[in-house]
Amino acid sequence: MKVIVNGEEVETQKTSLKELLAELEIKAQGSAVACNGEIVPSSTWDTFKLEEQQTFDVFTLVAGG
Amino acid sequence: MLNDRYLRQSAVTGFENLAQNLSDKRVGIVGLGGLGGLCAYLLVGAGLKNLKLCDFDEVSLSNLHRQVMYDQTSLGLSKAQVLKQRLLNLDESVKVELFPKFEEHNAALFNENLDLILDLTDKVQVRELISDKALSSKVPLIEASVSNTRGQIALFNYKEQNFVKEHGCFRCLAKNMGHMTSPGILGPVASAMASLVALYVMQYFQGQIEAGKIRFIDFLNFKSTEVVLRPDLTCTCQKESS
Ligand SMILES: [Zn+2]
Repeated sequence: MKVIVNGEEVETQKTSLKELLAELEIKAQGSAVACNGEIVPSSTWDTFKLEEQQTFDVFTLVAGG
Repeated sequence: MLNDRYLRQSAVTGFENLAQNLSDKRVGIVGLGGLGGLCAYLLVGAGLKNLKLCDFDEVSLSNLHRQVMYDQTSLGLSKAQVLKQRLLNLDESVKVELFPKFEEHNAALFNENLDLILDLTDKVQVRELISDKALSSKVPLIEASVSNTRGQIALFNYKEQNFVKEHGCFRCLAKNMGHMTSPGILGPVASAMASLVALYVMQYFQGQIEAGKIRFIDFLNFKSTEVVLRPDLTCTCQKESS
């Protein structure tokens, strides 16, 4: 299926968000992911099912002040 | 009476009454480094009169490229003390209360009577404690951070009854942050983010900010994206709110 990740169309056979991130070699630790404009809590990435044309934004979290 | 001090500020649409509005607000700032220092200065400049400042740290040479409230004459001195003096130099009528460190035992006292807490510290664990205490005190919290060339900012309105149920707490987001370290940071990025936090606070008090969203900014390409915060149902905040 096709999903959009950070503005680019990605073709994937994966079914969960966690698998998709691994496939794209996106480091889970320190990243935040939003699907269609809403944060997907990291504890649900493994059960979050991919659907055709979903839009994902992956962000690098920062903690400095 | 129109005060010359705020003449140019009050000429901006949407901010005509800003100084007046800020004058009775009480803001607590934890972390007085690259974000907290300049942010406090801009807010006092805009009319904020009551602050609680918290930082245990002293000014060191490696701070000076980005922590613009401090200079060579401040080396080795308490950031809180130096910043308080800078704020009093800017506006002698400002009231500043200092707290040495944000800890379990003094958190309730720090949060007392605050309209808003700004968490501008540099450790995830400290941020989690600040968030927990803001939540139990029901004080709105702005979490802002910066590293390298990026920043992020979010408003957790813990005063709102259903906020945590709909948007979660800082821990919900921080679960994936681990023990993040931030070795690199550019001076202009820190100051840009500090200014952005100050503007965000002003907009918040002017009723122009919607809580429950987080904005990610990449300063190198000026890219900025805002998304809605959602709770982690396994987080402690969800057990308490249900
Ligand atoms: Zn939570």
